Amino acid sequence: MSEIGADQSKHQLILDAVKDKSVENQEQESPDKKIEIVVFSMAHRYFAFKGAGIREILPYTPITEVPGCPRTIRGIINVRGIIESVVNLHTLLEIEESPTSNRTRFILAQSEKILSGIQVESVEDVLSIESNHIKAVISTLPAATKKYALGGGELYKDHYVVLLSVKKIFTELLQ
Amino acid sequence: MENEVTLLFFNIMGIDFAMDVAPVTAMVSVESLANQKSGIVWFHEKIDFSQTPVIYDCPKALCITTGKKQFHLIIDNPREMPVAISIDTIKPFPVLVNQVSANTPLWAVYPLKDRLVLLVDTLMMFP
Repeated sequence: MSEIGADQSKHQLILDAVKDKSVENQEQESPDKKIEIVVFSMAHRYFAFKGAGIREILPYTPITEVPGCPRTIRGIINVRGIIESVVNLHTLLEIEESPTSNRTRFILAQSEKILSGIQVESVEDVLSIESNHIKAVISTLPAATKKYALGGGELYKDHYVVLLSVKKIFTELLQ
Repeated sequence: MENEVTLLFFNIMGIDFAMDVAPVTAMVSVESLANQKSGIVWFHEKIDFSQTPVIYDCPKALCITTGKKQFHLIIDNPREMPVAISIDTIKPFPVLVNQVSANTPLWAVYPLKDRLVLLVDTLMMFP
């Protein structure tokens, strides 16, 4: 690689790292603050989103596939006259697809100007927890999960819950 | 600007589509194109379906004229009669879908009862 090329690639890595850091900083909470989280399950594992970014939880309705969309987007749904996308979290987290059931839900999440449904296998609970219960991301998490994780902890019935960032998910989908 | 657009509805692989009838001059049987050597386009050649192979149950050919060019676009399960709809009922794609669909002939959504119909820009299919 030429020196100029190497410099550009290094600069890009630095910019990416700065961008990641900025996302993390924006989503950090003061240690004693209580936050709400929406706990959901996928393939017998527990995840959560911060409640602040969640607009509502919707029952499953058939999704209209949009040809040409990547596998990370399942398609579109009609939410009271507004058309919303549905993110395929199974694909993003590299989790095996499971059939829909009467527990399947769409979590309608917002980050900045982007609003989208995220299909999950089941919404378990909405909890209010102290933010210092959320620990740093554990090193043993699968890489695909770690990519979107803000942290985790034994937050729901002694289960380890991975706190996911809606912002990181949407940012990935916009690239 | 007109307040209505007249759409021809069709369905391929369970997905509802509709297109403006303005550039459509006729709808003919696929068999009638047997001697046609060029200018025939199957819908799935212009739209990237995730499920393959794309199977047509009841195909029909639309004669489409754009500028001085004429094409035959083969679609599936068309409704016999076009329907005029108010442009106010047309919805844009959400952001995450729009960034992908912006490069395809799909340009908007028309909610029809409990279904969502994808609107196709014919001119983008045959630039």
